Amino acid sequence: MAIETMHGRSLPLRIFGGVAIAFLIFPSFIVAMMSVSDSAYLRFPPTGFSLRWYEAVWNSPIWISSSLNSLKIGLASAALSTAIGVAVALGFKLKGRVMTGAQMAFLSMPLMVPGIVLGIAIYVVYAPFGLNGSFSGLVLAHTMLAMPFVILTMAAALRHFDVNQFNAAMSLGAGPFRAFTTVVVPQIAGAVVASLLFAFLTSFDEIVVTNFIGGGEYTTLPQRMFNSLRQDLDPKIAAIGTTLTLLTILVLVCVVLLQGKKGIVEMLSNGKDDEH
Amino acid sequence: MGNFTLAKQDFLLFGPAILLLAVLCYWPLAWVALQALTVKGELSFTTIATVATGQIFWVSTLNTIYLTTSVVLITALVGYPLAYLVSQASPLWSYTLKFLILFPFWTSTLVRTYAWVVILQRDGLLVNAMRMVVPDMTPVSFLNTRAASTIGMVHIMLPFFVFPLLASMESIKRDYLRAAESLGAKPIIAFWTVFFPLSLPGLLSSVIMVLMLSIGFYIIPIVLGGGKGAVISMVIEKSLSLYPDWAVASSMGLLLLLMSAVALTILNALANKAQSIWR
Repeated sequence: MAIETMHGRSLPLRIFGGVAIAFLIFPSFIVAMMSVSDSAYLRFPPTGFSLRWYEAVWNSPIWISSSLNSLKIGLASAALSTAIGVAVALGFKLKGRVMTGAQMAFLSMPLMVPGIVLGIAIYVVYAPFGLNGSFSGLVLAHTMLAMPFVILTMAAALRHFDVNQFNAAMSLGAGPFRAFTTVVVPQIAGAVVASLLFAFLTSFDEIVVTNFIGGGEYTTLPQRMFNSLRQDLDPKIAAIGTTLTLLTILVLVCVVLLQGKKGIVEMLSNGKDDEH
Repeated sequence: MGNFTLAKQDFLLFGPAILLLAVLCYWPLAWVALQALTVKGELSFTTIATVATGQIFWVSTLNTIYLTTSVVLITALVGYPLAYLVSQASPLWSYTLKFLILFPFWTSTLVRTYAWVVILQRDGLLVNAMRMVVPDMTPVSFLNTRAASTIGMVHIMLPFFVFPLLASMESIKRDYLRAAESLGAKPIIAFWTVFFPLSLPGLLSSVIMVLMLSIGFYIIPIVLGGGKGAVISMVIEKSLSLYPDWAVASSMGLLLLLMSAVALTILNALANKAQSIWR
C-alpha cells in the first residue's frame, strides 16, 4: 500500500505561498496601473485611464536614447559573454576535466566581489584610456559581469555531452569551428539561448557598476531611472517599465514556442539542456 | 587534431576569459588594495587604520550588518517555505509557481524600486489603503526608513534565494519522507528529521547567494532608505560623488571586501560540513 504523504500540500502552507507570490508580483502590477493612470500620483481606487505617460516617453529623446543605449550594450555584451563563456565551458569538457573549486572561484570572482568595489575600481582603471562613458567600456564591464553565469550554465549543459562526438567530427575532417557548430551547438542550443537571455538581462538591468563607469552620451536606461528616482520620480518610468516587462514576456513566449514543449522556466532555472 | 595544437586551443578557449577577468576584475581589485595600503608608493596602514577607526565607518558597518542580516533572515523565512511548497507540488503547479516566482525578474530592479516608492511615499498607496480602515489617519511617509530598504531588498532577493534552494530540494527523493512516515514518524517529525537536514546545503548556498548580492547593493538603501541607516556601499558612493577621495573610498571598499570574504568563508565551511554529514 502506497502511503501518499501530504507534505507541502497543507492549507496554511498554500496560503503562505499565495501571499508570498502576491508580494512578488504586486510591484509589477502597481507599475502597470501607474503607467495607465491619468495623474502623476497613483490613487486608490484609480482615477482614470490614460496613455499619456507612454506618449510622453515616445516624445522624450532622453528616455528613448537611453533605452536604445541599453539595448545595444545588452545585445553586444550578451553575444560577447556567451561566446567567451561557452569557450571556457567547452575547454574544460575537451580536456576531460571537471572544474575544481579554485578554478570555479577564479572564474566567478566578479560575483563574489561587492558591486560597489568593482565599480570604483573599474572606473579608475578605465580613466587613463578614456573608457568611462564609452560604449566599449560599458560592453566590456557588462561582459565580465555576465560571464560567470554563462560559464556555470554552459558547464551544467555540457555535463552529459560526449566529447568523442566532437573528436570524431574532427577526425573525419571537420575543422574545430565546423565540428563545434554542427555537432556541439545543436545539443546545447537551449542552454546557449538561456545564457544569451540571462547575460542580456544582467547587462540591461545593471546599475551598481554602471553608475560609476557610464554616463554622458551612453547613459543607460537604469542609470537614467536611478537619477530620476533620486530627483523627480518621473512617472515615465512606469510606462517604460511596463513596456519592457511586456516585451520580455513576448520574447519568452517566442522562445518557448521555438523550444517546443521544453519548459522555459526549467531551462532558465537550471540552464540544463536535458535528455540528450 | 592535426596542426590545431593543444596549446593554441587552450589559448583560444581560455584566453579571452582570463584576459577579461585579469584586466577588469583582478587588476582593478589590486589597484583598490594598493590605494588603500600605500601612501606615496610606500606600504602604509595609516589610511586604512584611520578609516577603520572612524565613526562613519563603524556606524555604516553596523548598518550594513543589520540590513544584510535582516534581509537574509526574512528572505530565508519567506523563501524556504515557498521553495518547499514548489518542490512538493505537482509538475503543472510546480511550473506555474516557478514562472510566477521568476516574474519579478522580467521587471527591471529600478522599476520595482520605483513601485515601492509609489507604495510607501507620503500619501502613497499604503497610506491610501490604510485610510479606508482609519479615515482620519495623518499622512505619513514610510519612505526613508530601514524597513523600506529591507522590504525593497527582500523583494529583489527572494527569487535569487528560492531557485538554488529549490534545485537541491528537488533532488531529495520523496521516498525518504514516505519511508520515515511508514516507519511511524508523524509528518512534521519526518520533515524536521529527514527533509530539513537534507536541504541544509541548498539552504546555505542560497544564503551565500543573497548575502553576496546584497552586501554591496547601494541602490535600494539610497532610494528607499534615504539617509536612514546608511550602509558602507552608500557611504562610498557618496564620498566619491562629493569630493573624490580615492584612498578613503578604496580603504572602505577593501574593508567591505574583507568582511564579505569572512562571511563567505564561514558560510562555505558550514555548507561543506552540512554536505559531508550526509555523504
